[in-house]
This record gives sequence, structure tokens and C-alpha cells, in this order.
Amino acid sequence: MSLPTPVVQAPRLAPPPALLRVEGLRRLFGPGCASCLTSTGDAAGTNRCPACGTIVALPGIDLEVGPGEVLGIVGESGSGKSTLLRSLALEQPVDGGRAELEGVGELFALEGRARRDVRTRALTIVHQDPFSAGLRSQLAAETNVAERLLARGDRRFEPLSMEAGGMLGRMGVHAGRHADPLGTFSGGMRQRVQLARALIRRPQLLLLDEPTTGLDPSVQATVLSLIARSIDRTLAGTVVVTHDLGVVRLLADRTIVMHHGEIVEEGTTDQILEDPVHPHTQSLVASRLP
Amino acid sequence: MTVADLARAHAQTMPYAYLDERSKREVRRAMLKALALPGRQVPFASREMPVARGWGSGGLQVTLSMVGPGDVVKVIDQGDDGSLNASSMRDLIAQTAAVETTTRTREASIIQSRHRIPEIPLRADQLLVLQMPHPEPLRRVVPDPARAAAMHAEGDATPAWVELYDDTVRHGGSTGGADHPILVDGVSLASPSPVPRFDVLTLDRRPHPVILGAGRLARITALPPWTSVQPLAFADRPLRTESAGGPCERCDSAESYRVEGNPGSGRWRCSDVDACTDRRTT
Repeated sequence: MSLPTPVVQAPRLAPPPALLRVEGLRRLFGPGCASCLTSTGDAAGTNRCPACGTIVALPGIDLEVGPGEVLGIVGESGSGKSTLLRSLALEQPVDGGRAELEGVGELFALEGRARRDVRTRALTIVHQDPFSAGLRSQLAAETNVAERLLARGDRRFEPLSMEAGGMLGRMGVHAGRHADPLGTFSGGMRQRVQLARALIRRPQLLLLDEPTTGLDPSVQATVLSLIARSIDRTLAGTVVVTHDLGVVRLLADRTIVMHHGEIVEEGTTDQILEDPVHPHTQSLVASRLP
Repeated sequence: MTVADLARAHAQTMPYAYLDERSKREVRRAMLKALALPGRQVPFASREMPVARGWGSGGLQVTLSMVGPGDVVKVIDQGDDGSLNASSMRDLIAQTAAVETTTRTREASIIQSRHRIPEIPLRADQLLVLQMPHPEPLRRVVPDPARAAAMHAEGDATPAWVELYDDTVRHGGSTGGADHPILVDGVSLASPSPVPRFDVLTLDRRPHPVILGAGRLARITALPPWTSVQPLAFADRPLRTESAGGPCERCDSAESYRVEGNPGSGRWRCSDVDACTDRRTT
């Protein structure tokens, strides 16, 4: 008779504190009414309130992002993923909820200069269109990057130029082009400049909104590789919104799937892509091009 | 028939110094407020003037609100007392305020100027009035006036630094020409009116007040005596002044601000006619 193998209880590690904790994030487009939240969403099959016509873009989203973690958000057009990202980027008002960023506090309560300061220091967004992210076509590529350092209050030209130029170099922008206006750059090169600008102050939270949409496949691969390397280097928490499941497969540790403003499935990226449970996720995964 | 004839025909009398007393008080109140907030843009109820807006109507309202029978007025345009614009405004001031006029900087109690600051040092008892077409230093980089106002209120001059950085990256230095922004008392970003960089560097701690009037945009900015005024410049890249191709062909000065008589002629002359005359006669 053999003795039973003693069961060794593995010590339970406390989960690391979240870098970003979002609770009850709500965003409506319209007047809103008492039945908006009960008559919309995944179960209702619509995000338009039948009573008042309000679009319930986000009915009350909860999510967390850990330090160094990459969270992917996928979903069809109109599912609320870009609204979620732009709300987190403080680019638009919200109708309810909280977003706590470690070291900063409640993001949605920030106003005026404090809000602008956080948007250049602690969190930064990379858009599909660089000019939506505040980059200016008539300014030199280096100026677009250095703007973030000037906002910090740096007032010596040479160190600024070294830092901004160095970041552009790491993003693969040749030194001979640093002084060229951004408007003369190709789409892929503009994304490199945007990425350099986004990362120059080592933000705590990096938000990527369709960062490679519209680029040809070879440029997409280069930009994605740059993003992946940059995330490793800065250890920023990252949220990436995309239509492209290949992007989340490459970048994201964890993925959430949105439909009609709600999170309908959440899990590790492998789990979501290899073993989807929700019918909408199954449909998304099945619709991937081979 | 003149305006004065018309006024007499309707039993009206022309007010002293063209503007009625209520208008002058309004301008003076704005000036006092501007003096209390050095470098800030103070709105005022800019009146219609007998010069086109943008042609000195702001400076003219400031001068006419301040002028009194004992004053001696000098008006210059690009450093020259004899230009058409300067002559017209000097005549208007002289006729409506019955004051003495002069072309000599030292004799004037009020000096109204466009595009230059007199090179002869002014005294504490003199007033310098600058015509200012564009009072907003952020206008090229922040087109929305409401956003620009918010940035001034928050002391955020980043867009102006971005513009300067871009000029430095692409051209090696400021290309703002005659409109280089200034930092007043180290905090307020202001436009010094379109004076050359040569003049911008002379604005620091002057013993007399400087009033800048923008009639078209209805703003007054003021620099009280002894105010700190520094040009926007990186710590390791001081502002460079304009350079001339040679000394003044009249007074032989190589230190003054000089302009070329005809482009390409190689004949350089002092822009400040009175200062040049002063050097030749003393």
C-alpha cells in the first residue's frame, strides 16, 4: 500500500495592482432615457434605444490593465471599441464611470492643464491617422516628437534635439529626414513618427487605435514589430483596438471582444482565437482571411 | 466740407482729440487694467477711426486718449517720420488736439510708432505707443482664439516654443521676422507688435511705459516701466538680430538697425531717421 502523495498547496500570490482600473464607463450619444440601458446591448441585439433613439456606445464597461500587459480589444465596427479607447485617452467626455491610473488618480476628474499634462506625460494614444493624434503636417518630424518634451518644460535646444532625434532614429526614421515636414512622409513613416512621439516620454499607458490599418502588409509588419519592441522596452501598459485579429495575436496578452457596446468575451488571446465561446467571437474568428 | 464743418452745421462741436470723453475714458480704463496685468491682452471697445482698421487705429486711440494740450507728439512708421501713414496720423492728432508735433525723439512726450522702437533711449517721462496689428502671439499655431486664451490663462506657452523649435530645426533659428514673441515678467507670453528682433532685445526694463494698441482686434497690452521683457529663446540658442550688409551710408553706423534702400542695391541706411540725423549732427 502506497502512501498518498501529500498535496502541496502552492502559495497564493496576490495579483499585481492594476495599472489601469476602469469601472462602469458609460458613454451615450443622445438624450438618454430610463430604458436605454435595459433595452440595448448584446442580448437586445442593438445599441440604439428603441424608446429615445440614443446610441448606447458604452453601457458601463469594467476592465483592468496590468503594468506591461497588452490588452487587445476587437469587435465589429460600431461595437464601441474606439469610443472606449478615446474615452480612456481623455479625447471625449464620458457620461459615467471611473478610470484610475496608477500614480495619477481618477482620469475623468481631470480638467484644464492637468488633463493636458496627463495626456502628454502619463497616457498617450496612437491613431490610425497621425493627424488625428495632433501631429501637424507642416511641422518637421522632429518637432512633432519634441513637442511632448517642450510641454514638459525643457528649454535647451541641443538636448531636446538629441532626445527627439534619437527616438526617431530608433523608430527607423533616417536622420536626413528629421527636419522634413511630416506632410512629405509616407503613411508608414508617419506612423513611425507618431510612435516616436507617443513613446518619447515613456508613458504609463499606451493606447493604440488601429495603428496599422491602411498600411500595406510589409509596412504593417515593420510597424507592428516596432510597437512590440517599444512595449517591451518601456514596460507600459497597452490597450490596442483593432479589426485585425492578426494584430492582437502578435501583440496582445489578453483580449476582450465587444459587441453592441458590451464586453461579450474575455480571455487570453490564444483562448479567444483558438477556442471562442460567444457566437459573435466565433463569427469574428471564422471570418478571418486565410 | 470737413467733418468739423458738418458738425458746426448741425450745431455740434468736435470733441477734443477726436474721440468723445466717454470713449477716451473707456480706453484709459483698459490701459490701466493692461498696466496692472503686464503683457496680457485687455479687450476694449475699439471705436471707428478715420483710418482703416489694421492701419494704426489702435495706436491712434491710445494716443488720442492720452494726449493733452501740453504734449509734444511724434509719429513714425518704419522709423520714418515722413511716411504717408505717419504724416496722416500726426496731422489728425495735431488738428484735433491742437498739440505740437516733432520729429525729434528727445523732444516728444508721446511717441506713436509702427514697426520700430526709437533707438535714442527714452526717458521715464515719455510714453511709447506701438501700433499692433496682431496682439495674439499664438495665432499661427493655435488658430482657435478661445483655446489660445485658455492657454494664456494657464501660463502654457508650449505652442510658441514648438514654433520656435521648428524654425530652429528647419532654418537654424527664428524666422518670425518682425513678430518674435516675448515673455513678460517671465510668465506672460505676448506679441511685441511687428518690430524687428533688433528692437525686441531693447524692450527689457525700459524706464517708461509702453502701450500697445490693436484697433482691429480691440486689444490693449501694456509694459509698465522697468518690466522684465525677454524674447522667447532657448537657453543655448540666444535670439539673433537681423544683420545688414554694410554700415549706414549716411552716418556710417554699424550698430544701428539698417535697411537696404532698394533691394540688391547694397546701399544700407539707418531705419530710424531721427537717430541717424542725431549721429550725423553730434
